Amino acid sequence: MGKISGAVKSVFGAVKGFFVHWNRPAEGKYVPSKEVVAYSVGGMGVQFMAVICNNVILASTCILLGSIYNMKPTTLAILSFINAGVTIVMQPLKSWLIDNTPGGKGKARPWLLWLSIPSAVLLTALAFMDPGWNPTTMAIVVGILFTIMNFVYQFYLGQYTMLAQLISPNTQERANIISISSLVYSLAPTITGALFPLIAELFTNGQLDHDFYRTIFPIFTVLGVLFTLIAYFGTKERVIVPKNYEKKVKFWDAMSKIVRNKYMWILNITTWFQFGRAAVTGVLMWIYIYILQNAGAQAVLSLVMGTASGIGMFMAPFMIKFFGKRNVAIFSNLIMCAASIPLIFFPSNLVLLFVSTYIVFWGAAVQIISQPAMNADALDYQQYKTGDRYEGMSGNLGMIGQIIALGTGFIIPAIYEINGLLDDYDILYDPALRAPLFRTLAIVASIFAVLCAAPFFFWDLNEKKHRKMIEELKERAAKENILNGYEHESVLSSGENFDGTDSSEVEAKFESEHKDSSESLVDELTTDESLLGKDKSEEDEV
Amino acid sequence: MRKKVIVVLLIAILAISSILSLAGCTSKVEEQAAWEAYEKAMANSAEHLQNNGSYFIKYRYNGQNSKGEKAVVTQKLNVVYGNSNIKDWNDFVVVDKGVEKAARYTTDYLNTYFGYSLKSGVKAKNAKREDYALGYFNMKGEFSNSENVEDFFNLEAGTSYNGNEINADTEIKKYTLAYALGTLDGINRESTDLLSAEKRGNVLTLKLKVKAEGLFYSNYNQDSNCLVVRITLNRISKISSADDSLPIYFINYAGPKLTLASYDAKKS
Repeated sequence: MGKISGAVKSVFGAVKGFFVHWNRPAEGKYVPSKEVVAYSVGGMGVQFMAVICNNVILASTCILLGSIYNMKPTTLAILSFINAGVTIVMQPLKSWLIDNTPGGKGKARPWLLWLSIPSAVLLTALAFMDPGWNPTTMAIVVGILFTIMNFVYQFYLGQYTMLAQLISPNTQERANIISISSLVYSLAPTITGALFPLIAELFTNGQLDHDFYRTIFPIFTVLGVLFTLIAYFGTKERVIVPKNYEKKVKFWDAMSKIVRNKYMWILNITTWFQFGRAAVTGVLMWIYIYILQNAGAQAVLSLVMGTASGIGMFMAPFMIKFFGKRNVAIFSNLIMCAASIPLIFFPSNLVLLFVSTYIVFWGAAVQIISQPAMNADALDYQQYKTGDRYEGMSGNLGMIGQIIALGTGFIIPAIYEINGLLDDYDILYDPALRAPLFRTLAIVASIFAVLCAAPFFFWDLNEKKHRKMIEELKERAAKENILNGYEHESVLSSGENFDGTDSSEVEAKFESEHKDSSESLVDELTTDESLLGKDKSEEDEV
Repeated sequence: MRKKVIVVLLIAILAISSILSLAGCTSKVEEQAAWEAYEKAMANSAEHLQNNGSYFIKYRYNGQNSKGEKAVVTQKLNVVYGNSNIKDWNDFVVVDKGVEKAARYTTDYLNTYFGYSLKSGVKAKNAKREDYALGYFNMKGEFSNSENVEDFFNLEAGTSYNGNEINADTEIKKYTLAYALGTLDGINRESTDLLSAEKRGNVLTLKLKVKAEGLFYSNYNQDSNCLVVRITLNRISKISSADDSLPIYFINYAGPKLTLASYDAKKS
């Protein structure tokens, strides 16, 4: 009973603290609550776009491209291959743009502003293809449009995720913000998951009707843009750098340093296998349309499925706090494996399909929190080792995964085709044909979930080590500020002090209070010998 | 540390190899085995038909849309047999006959629903045979009684039925499973040369050159203009020509769930 009341009190305490720290962050934290809200609500805009983008993926499971535009699985796989190639080629440019973002307002926020509208326009255009085109024309037009859209949209999406890594140097706070924002922004797919089947009922062919997509695409991309602007205007980026930090990032110099960051490697290697671990969840829309065939039940089940992500994202920061990010990453992948195994034996069981999909969604949701948080830790480690911030350039390591994906991208479509899913998706109505397909996908999902977990066994950057790193970075930045005459300046890129006040305001106030005095902040700081001439060998302790 | 790396790499290689083998490669099938597979598939499909199995067929050809423009026209026929609520009533049928993707810029979806319609106010699980009426709903949703099921499948184009016209630009029977399988009558190892047989997973694709005359597909008598028959899990699933220029049958042995509206439901 005591534990329950303690837990209830801590929940109430957290809620109260949320409003108390609306304008100023709590001690030890960096982000006020209002900014968390802005980031979270803005995330709904990003998710509305993501939902629309999920309706036009280059995969056989895409109703619009597969069932309506009649594009074959191998055509889609070829376009996906080309798109991946273009993405690889454009990645260095994107990385350079991120690390050299003009305007001085950060590396993530500006791109949310600049890329949201083009993303919306390009996504909407994909809903207005003519199903009567011959296959070649369709493939060319969709291919070109999708490739451009994907570059712009992925850039935009990535910057929202990156903002969470830059919004605070406190790793637990980052995880908390990612979790809170994930819970809020996941309302967007929950809303659309419930609304779309009901909107589809207004059209003759339901979710197989072209007009359905031509209706939802413009509406929800516009909503996406409007909500995204909330994130742009309501947030700040905070990295620990000296006042005069204006690093111009050179490509090869950056790459030679990033390749020595083992934590970046671990995170990238796990992404090589992620295409397979969710093989079963990819058929959820097919389950609704070809098996369930009930819009009302689909709306309810979509809501239920949405709770999996919400629960996973809510639990993630608590799990991270008690077990650490590494263990959480391993566990969440292994549970996705365990959830897929029963479908190998019972591929036609509808209840089992939903339960397995629910658990896989849960595991993936946990990693929505843990993975960016681990990525941010890896970036801090980079700064600790080499003094560089490589939010953009670190993405180049992902090019290896993208090259690998050129090959692995054919595996799932090939599995569909060998099970009879070619140019007629109506075979999915037939349980005799569905069962072997779902069984194979379950095998793939199980194996690849284990492969996703494997790299994390090598992750040894725990939370204690990370805290020591951040303190070290603060000391270095403060030392450099002193040496460069910015002794009273904040070491946060946002210009705030650690109590949330603005350093320039503090400076102005100090000067007005001490304008006739010989006192200065300089004397107080320079008497601290420990900040000067620190022993380099202590850096190796982490 | 090195052992960890080696173990992980070995597992990864093993797993990826397994997946690649599951993804499957195309393999050629010997002629004898190919004909045996074809004969077995025909027998399975015929058995499904004789047992009143449900089916969902699409018949795709180059035609005209409702505006008179050239368009790829897809006629679909979804037939559901059986009624689990009434014992031994195997000839119960509900049919959805429609046209999809016939227009260039809009989707003309013309439906005719035929079959046994339940009286309003009666729940299916409590219904008796006499609560059902056989007939059809036209595009306007009006119900007309019919004599028997075969009358519907034998309807000619533009047929006037009790004053309510069924809109079909060709005979409905051409879209039935019986007709689709019937087009392969006479296709066997004596009348036809097997040009190739390739198997990929559960899908076997046969390319056939028809030597005999007088058969439905006798025109497909050249290497460059051959008949293509796809067999999926031991059942005929697609009949087409090598360049897909002629009408294509997409045959499925299950389709969407069908329930007719009540024949005496009042319209608002």
